[in-house]
Amino acid sequence: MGREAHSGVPDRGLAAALLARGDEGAFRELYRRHTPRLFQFVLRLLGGVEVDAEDVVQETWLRATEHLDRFRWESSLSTWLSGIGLNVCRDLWRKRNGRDLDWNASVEPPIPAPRSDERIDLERAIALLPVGYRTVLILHDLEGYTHDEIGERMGIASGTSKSQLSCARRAVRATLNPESRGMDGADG
Amino acid sequence: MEPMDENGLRRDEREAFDALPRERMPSRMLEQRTVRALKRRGIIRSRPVLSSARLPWLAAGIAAALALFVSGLAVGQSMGVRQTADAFADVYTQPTARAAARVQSTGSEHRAALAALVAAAGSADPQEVRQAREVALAAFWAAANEIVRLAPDDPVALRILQEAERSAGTRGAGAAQDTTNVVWF
Repeated sequence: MGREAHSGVPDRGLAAALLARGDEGAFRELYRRHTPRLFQFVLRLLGGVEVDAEDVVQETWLRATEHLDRFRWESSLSTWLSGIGLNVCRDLWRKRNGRDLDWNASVEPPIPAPRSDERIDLERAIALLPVGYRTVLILHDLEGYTHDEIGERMGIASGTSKSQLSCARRAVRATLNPESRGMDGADG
Repeated sequence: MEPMDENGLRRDEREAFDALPRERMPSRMLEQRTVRALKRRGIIRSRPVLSSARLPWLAAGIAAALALFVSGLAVGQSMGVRQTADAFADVYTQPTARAAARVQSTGSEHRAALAALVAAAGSADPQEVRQAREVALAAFWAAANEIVRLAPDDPVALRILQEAERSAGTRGAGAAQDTTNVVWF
């Protein structure tokens, strides 16, 4: 089957074809539908490091297709893939640091200050955040997760998620507008 | 202080977050790499080499390719044979043509030399004239002999040889001895 033959098929039908026949065309269609969003998501989580993001996307698809027969379609495939992608990112951080993220660190990690002549946009400001801040900010403010969902997903208390978000927003505001350092908004 | 939304973001902050891109396509290589990895794990199975629906098309394609190959081969061979024949013809005809041209040019020279001999015969030493005539006859006889070798049934050349032999027989051994003293260059 060519790509045109798969283009109108729902995700579930493509997944069935992949599981039943190992249909390459079905997989490629799924890949092309969902990879752009998955890639942008993990790229942002990883602070814009494309090489790492590509590795994570590949590993995400490997894990997803291996467990596709257990996916119950209670959420969208895209959401499920994002969850797997997040787990793969965590595995990568753990592998790099030799331990999981320290969510309860009492001291705020240093945030690299931009050069005086560097104009920082929001994307760059997010990328400059420490991993924990960045992850919570992305999940909450961009992906729409609640603090309970973040807590469940990351294995932390929802209160920890809230405090991380508060710190993350403060850091972003300070990075975007250095004059506002110390001025806090109300965080959700 | 600007108003915050229910999540604690100012409107401009919310808009800035909403404006961030949600999709980005990675390199094309990643798709190929992922497909290869899935094939290695047996999750994607390689496409069948031949499906029954494509068989007639494949057969027709092979037949067309074969016909093209055979016709090309035939044309190539034909051109090759012709070129070879031409080459052989060049090899064999060129020396013959050169030899024929040489016979013609030396024959003209031979006739011109005889004409000069005839012109000088009236005032020349009779002994020298006789010797010159013997040389001319010997050349004439030798030429006839070569023509017979070239064409054994040639009646003119045969008659010349017969007459020359008969004439040599009647003139005796002295004349024959003179003839054999002629040296060909």
